[in-house]
Order: sequence, then structure tokens, then C-alpha cells
Amino acid sequence: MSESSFEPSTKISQEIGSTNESQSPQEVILEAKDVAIYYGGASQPSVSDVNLSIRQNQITSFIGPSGCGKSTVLRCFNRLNDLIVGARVTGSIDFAGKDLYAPNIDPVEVRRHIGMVFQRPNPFPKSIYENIAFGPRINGYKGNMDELVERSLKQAVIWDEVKDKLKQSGLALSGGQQQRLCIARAIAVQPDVILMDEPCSALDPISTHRIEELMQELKQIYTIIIVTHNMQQATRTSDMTAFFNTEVDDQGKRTGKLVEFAPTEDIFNSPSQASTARYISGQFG
Amino acid sequence: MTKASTSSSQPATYDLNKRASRNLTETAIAIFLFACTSISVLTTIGIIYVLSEETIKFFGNVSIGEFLFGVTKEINGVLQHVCIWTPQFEDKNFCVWPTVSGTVLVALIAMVVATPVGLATAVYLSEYASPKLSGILRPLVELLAGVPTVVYGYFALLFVTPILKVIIPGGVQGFNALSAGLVMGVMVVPTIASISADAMRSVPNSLREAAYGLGCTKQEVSTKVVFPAALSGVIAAVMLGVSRAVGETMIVVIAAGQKPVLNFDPRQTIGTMTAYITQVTKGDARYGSVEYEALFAVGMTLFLITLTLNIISRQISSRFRETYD
Amino acid sequence: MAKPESIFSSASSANFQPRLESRQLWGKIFSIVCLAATLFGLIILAVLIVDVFHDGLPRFNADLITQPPSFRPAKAGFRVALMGSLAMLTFVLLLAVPIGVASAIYLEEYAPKNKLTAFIELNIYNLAGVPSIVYGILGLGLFVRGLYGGGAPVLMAGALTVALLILPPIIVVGREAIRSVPQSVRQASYGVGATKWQTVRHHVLPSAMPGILTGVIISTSRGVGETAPLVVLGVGTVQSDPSISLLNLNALFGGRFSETLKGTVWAKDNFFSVLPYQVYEWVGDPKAQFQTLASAGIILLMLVVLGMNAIAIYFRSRTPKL
Repeated sequence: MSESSFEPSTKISQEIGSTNESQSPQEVILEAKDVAIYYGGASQPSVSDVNLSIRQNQITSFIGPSGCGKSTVLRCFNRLNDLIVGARVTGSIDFAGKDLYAPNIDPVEVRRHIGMVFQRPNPFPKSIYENIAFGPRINGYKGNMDELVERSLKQAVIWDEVKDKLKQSGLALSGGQQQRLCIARAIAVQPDVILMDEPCSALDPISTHRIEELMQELKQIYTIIIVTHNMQQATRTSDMTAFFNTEVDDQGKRTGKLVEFAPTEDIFNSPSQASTARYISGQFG
Repeated sequence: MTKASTSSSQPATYDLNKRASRNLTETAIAIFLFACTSISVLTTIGIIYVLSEETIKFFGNVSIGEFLFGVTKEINGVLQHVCIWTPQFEDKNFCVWPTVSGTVLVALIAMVVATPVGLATAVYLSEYASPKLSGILRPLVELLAGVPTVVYGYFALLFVTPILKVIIPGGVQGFNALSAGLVMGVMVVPTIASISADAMRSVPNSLREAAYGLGCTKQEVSTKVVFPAALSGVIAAVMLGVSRAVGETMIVVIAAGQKPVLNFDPRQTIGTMTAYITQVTKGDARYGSVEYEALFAVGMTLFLITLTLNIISRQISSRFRETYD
Repeated sequence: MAKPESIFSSASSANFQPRLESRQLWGKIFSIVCLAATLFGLIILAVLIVDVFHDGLPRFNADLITQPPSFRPAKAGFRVALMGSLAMLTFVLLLAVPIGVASAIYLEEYAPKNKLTAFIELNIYNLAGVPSIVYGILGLGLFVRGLYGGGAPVLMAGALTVALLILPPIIVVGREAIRSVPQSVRQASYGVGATKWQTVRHHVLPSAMPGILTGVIISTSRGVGETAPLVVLGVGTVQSDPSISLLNLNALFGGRFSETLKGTVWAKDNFFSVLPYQVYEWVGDPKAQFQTLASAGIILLMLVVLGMNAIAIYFRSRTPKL
């Protein structure tokens, strides 16, 4: 099956049912039910009551004030929280109908399907080519690597800038270019979902704009969840928005909670929760 | 800082000028620090001078040809070309290679032991051990470096050699290269492990996260991302290990013998360059005798060999350096 | 051709063959191998210690520390050598640590990036790899013959030699430690108007201290156990304790100015021996009793070395971490 840069690839198959048509509502690809996250063996969760359905080929943004757990929840989707000693997740997160945290699930496998782009660009200290080829190689990519590298760099709209210097170090690029390189790297393993943890917060406005444009192209193929501090970014880019906030109980314990999850227009024009309304009008956070 | 007094139309002024006294202190400190640093340059000059002085005298008595290539002698009526090192016999010969081969043999054995063990240790300490475990294991590993080399020599001679006599086919001699090399390998492990572990640990965590994010197992993160990123530090560590092995004295003096031969059989008694140097100073070679001058010539050779090793190591690490922040 | 063993299949899975089982298995084997390697050296060390104690413990008594050397093994002891080691070590530290740390600071914080600096750096790097015996030769020519005009070496000659020996490793590791302090720390300090020296003294050095201490630990352990350079200097067996007094105050206050250095550490006849040298002497002695004595001496030596290591590790854990 040949793939040009932006042809939507065939979706997740038999496990969840019908293939996509542009008019019908997109399928749910990730579902979080009553998810709570505990750190360091604490009895009180850091984040709780997370219930979300992420639909394919949509961009969902997580917004909310600092420290309310947006990144924590994001990292549950690719089990990156496993790397933190003492972190524990309760509830269920289903990906294509299977619980990500079931005992027989290998996190290594999860991460090929659910990729991540980080807050600060973190290309490997290898050549640009190697940065892209590394992931597919580890995962036993069977096709033509040169083609895959070129395709990934094109999808990330950085091919023209680097095609003559593939052997140069990835670290020689500018901040915005490095982040697009990291996006290309995440794409190269052909994930189904891309998690983005404040990907533009370390970048200048022009690079930010380019990446936001890129996201619109990418969503035709991938599903994207983005954590952002920038509300305008959420309105510009996302289809659905989840608003998180910190709640303080009577004993002064702080827990992050998912307050509201709705289409972006609804969240910003007619939020159903008072705290959502206060946050988006800039009254806090 | 002074503020101008207050007419509202006048902006406040700040005295941003450099302070003479502060500048003086800073400059004085910089000069002092530079002076300390230059002691190292003086050390090198001192070494080269001391070595050269006597080496030049040595080559006044013994030709460079003999030193490097041996001589042709009549042995049992037959003219043969030999390369042997016998400064303390009546029939003095000064071909240097037997001492060099002894050094190389022992160092080689040591590195065969130390490199895999040291690197695996570094990976474990940096990537696998929890901080608590690492905090316990690391000082213990460093302890190996703290063991004085006379102790290792004693161990090699009186514990390892008897064991080797039993388990090595063909047995080993009372003084042999293998014992010394094996024990020396253990001695070099901490050098490699400690510096490599530091290099690996200083690889930013964001790189590990990126690798995990792509679906790597822990072993793949360690070997395919962290290790290559730390490569220059690792190579530097290994090269320092080799230098230590080459220049080590007490282990070989006690356990490997003092009979330089041009032979790569590890079961034999050999003599290293370092062993010869101690032989002379401990023995009764007089100032001004050829044996005494030979000490400096051998010292010079040793110095040049380790110098070359160091320079190569530096080239390697800068050429392979995968730069990161 | 092999189907992906993954639980999640999607359209892209046909392109990948992740071989998860074998990768995970290999990962487990790898971690066991690494652990074994880490323990390998420790096991050898344990064997070594047991062996030495087994040989030396019978002879490990108070005589060991109180008696000077003698031709009769039953009466010999390490007292003089021990005093010599401790005395030499003191001066070695006083010389090498300040100069070494100062050099590390200069090279990391002050030195401009020019050819001179590059030359100095190359120089230090090379010196760190120069064998200790070559330092002995340097000491022989410079301190024993040059400073003191020949003869058996005196304490200061030994101290100077060993100080020069451990200087480069201290600098190398000190630099690594200073280099690993993040730039953000320095920038924050400059940002509030601190000078370079203030930044170094109050921010960079404290953060680098654990690493610097590591370098000092390892280097000084070598210094204590070093025998080779001292053998080259010509150290032999000595019968009386060396002096460490800096000035002969009696002479100074008694008006005998020509004797102010008499009996001090600077004196020409302040001969000394060190513990590892004495051990070496007796290891090689054919009389088995001396070998036992040597192993007892090794126990002593190990106690000194381990004690130093323990102290330094204690310091390292007390220093506030970044």
C-alpha cells in the first residue's frame, strides 16, 4: 500500500468496528474511566475522577492551571508514568478496546502505538537520519528505511530544511526545527496516537505557529492529545477540550480533577461549570 | 548606588561603574588560579628534563640501533641477531623490546578483564540500580581502587599463582604474567566503571524518556541511547585504564618477576619496564653507570608510550563525540 | 512473514516486527549480567580480604604499631613506616588539594578558549596518564638530587613527589564535577549581580563538591598506597620516626637561627619510610615469618586506607546536593 504524505491511512481494524467515513462521528480510540493516579505510595491521589473518550483523528487539548495534573494524565496514556518509582494508576484506560494497564500488556508495545512529543525538544545526539530511523529500527521495521525517514520528515514539514544534511547531528538544528524533528521521530514508528506535552512552550511564536499548522495536517492521519498552557492555542487547534483544575478538600489536600470535557467551542463559549468559566476568562491560572 | 535627589523631572542615576577594589580582587584571584594551573605545565617540563638528561647520556654509551633493534652477536660460534635486555649481567645487552613486551602482555590481560566488567558495572550503576542501591554499591566499587597495589601484588603472588598452577594447562611459573594481569584487571575496574558511570549518568533524562516513548526496553535505552551518548566519556575512561595498567609497578614487581623476555606466553616469568626501573634504584647500580642511565631510557620509553596512548585517546573521543548539551 | 505478537494491531503493525518476547528476555539477561559484573570485583575483594586476614591476623598485635623494623621478625613492627605514611599524607593533601581544585576552577571558569588553555588541558590530561613510577623518576632528579643533593630521600621530597602525582587526577575529576554543575546555576548567580569569584565560591563549588570529593578520595587512596615512586626515590627501611614540625621553635627563640630547620620536616636528614614500602620489603623476604608480618602490615594498611575512604564518603554524604 503506497502512502503519499497526507493520505489518511487505514484505521484501526477489526477490534473496534467500522472504518472511518468523513461524515459519521469518529470512533473512540482511547477511553479513560474513573482514572486516578497516586504518587509515592500516597493514599491520596494526585489526580482523580478522569473520564474521557478520545476520538480518532481529532485533536483534544488538556487545559488548566499549573500543577493540576494534565501532564500526569497525559503520561498515563503511554504508560510513561511507569518509569516513576511508586506511581500507581487506578481505573481503566482502554486503547482500541483493550485495557492499557492489564497485567499482560507490555508498556514497550503500548509506546509504539502511542507516541509522545515532549516539552523541550530532545533529539538524540545522533544524526538527523539516525534520530528518525532509531525508533523504527528498534521496532523491527520491515520496509525501506530511507523512504520512511523521508516520509516522516516530510509529514513533519521539515524535509526541505534538512534533506541535504541528514548526516548532521540533530542537535545542530534550531529549537523549532528540533521540535519538528522530534515530531517526525514520533511519527516514524507509525503510531495511532500522538501525545504532546506542551510542545510549543519552549519555542518562539513563529515556530509555534508552524507546529500548530502541522498539527492540523497530522490529525488527518493520527489522533492527537495536546497539553497546553495557552488557551488560544487550544481554541486555535483543538476539536475537543478537557479542562482540569485542582480541588482542595476540607483537610487542605489538593487533588487534580477533570472538571469538564466538551467540544472546544462549547468549553469556551458556553462552559457548563463555573470554574471553567472563571479559568477561561482569566480569573485564575 | 546613589539616587539623585528628587526633582520629579530628573530620572534617578545609578553608579554602575566598576569598583576598583572588586576588580582587583577578581584579577588577583584569576592570577592566583592561573599560577596554580601552570604548576602542571612545570611538572611536564620537569619530567621531560629529568628523563632527557640521563637518556642522552645513555645513548652516548649505547646506540639507538641496539636499543631498538638488538645486536648481532656470536653465540656458541654462530652469528645471531638477538634482542635481549641484560643490563645487570656481565655481558650487557640493551634491546628494549623484552621489557616492552612484558608490559604489553600484562596490560592486555588486565584490559581483557577490566573493560567488560567495568562497563557492565557502569551500566548497572547508572541505569539499573536504584539510587539507594547505587549509593551502597558505588563506594564499594571505588574501594577496589583504594586497595594499595602492594596488596594486589601480595594477593597475586601468594593466592592467585598457586591456584593458576593447578588450573592452567601446563602450569605457571612462580612468577608469571597471568596472575599479575588478572589481578591488575580487577584493580583497573573501578577506574573504568566510575568514570563511565559518571558519563552515563550525565546523559540527560529527556533522552531516555524519548527512547522509552518510542517503545524501547530498558536494555535498549541503556545500550543504544545512553551508552552512545556517553561514548566519549567511556573511551576516556578505558584509555585511562590502559595507562594505569601499562604504568603499574608493584603488582608486576611482586608477582610477575623481573626477567624481561620477548615472549607472549602469559604463564612465563617476564619483566616489565616498570620492574626494571625499580630493580635499578633498589639495587646497587651506581650513579653514572650504564645500568643507571638505562633506567632513564626505559623511563623515557614508558613515558612516550603512555603519552601516545593519551593523545590517541583524546583524538578518538573528540572524533566520536556525539555532542549534546 | 512472522505475525506481530502484539496485542494491539493496527494498520501500521504490518510494517513492524517488534519481537517483544525476545527483546524482553534479552533485557533480563542483560541486567543480570551487569549485576554480576558489579559484584564480581566485590567478591574478589572479599576473597582478598579473607585471605589476608587469614594470613596476617595471628601476627596482628600491638607490637605491630609500636615497634620499629628489626631483623628479627618477632620483634619488628610498622611504627616508623606508619608515622611516615601519615606524615607524608598530611603534606601531600595540603599541597595537592588546593592547587588541584584551584587549577580545576581556573580551567573551567576562567580560562579563555585559546591555544594556551588548550595546551594546558592537553598537558594535564597527559599527566593524569603518566605512570606513578615516572613521577618517582622526576622526584629523584628534582627533589632528591636537585633539592637535597642526593642520598636517601627525605619526607618533603616524598610528599612533593606524591603531591605532583595525584595533582592531575584531582584536576581531571574536579573539572568534570565543576562542568556538571548546570549553566543555569551560574546564570542565576550572575543574574543577581554576583562576580565570577562569588559565583564560583558560593554556587559552583558547593554543587561540585561531591564530585570533587570523589576525585580526592580516589586520588589520595592511590597516594597512600603508592610504593613505586618512593622505591625509585630510594626509600629504604628506616629506624626512627620522621619529623613533621614546621619550625624548630627552640632554635628560633634561642637565637640559633642556623638551626631553625634542624629536626623539622624541611631538614636534610628527615628520612622516612612508608607503610606500603615496608610491606613490600617483607613480602619479598624468603623467611615465612616476614611474609606473615607483611600480611599483618597489609591489614594495617587496609585499615588506614579504608578509614580514609570512609571519612571521605562521610563528607560526601554531608555535603548538600544540588
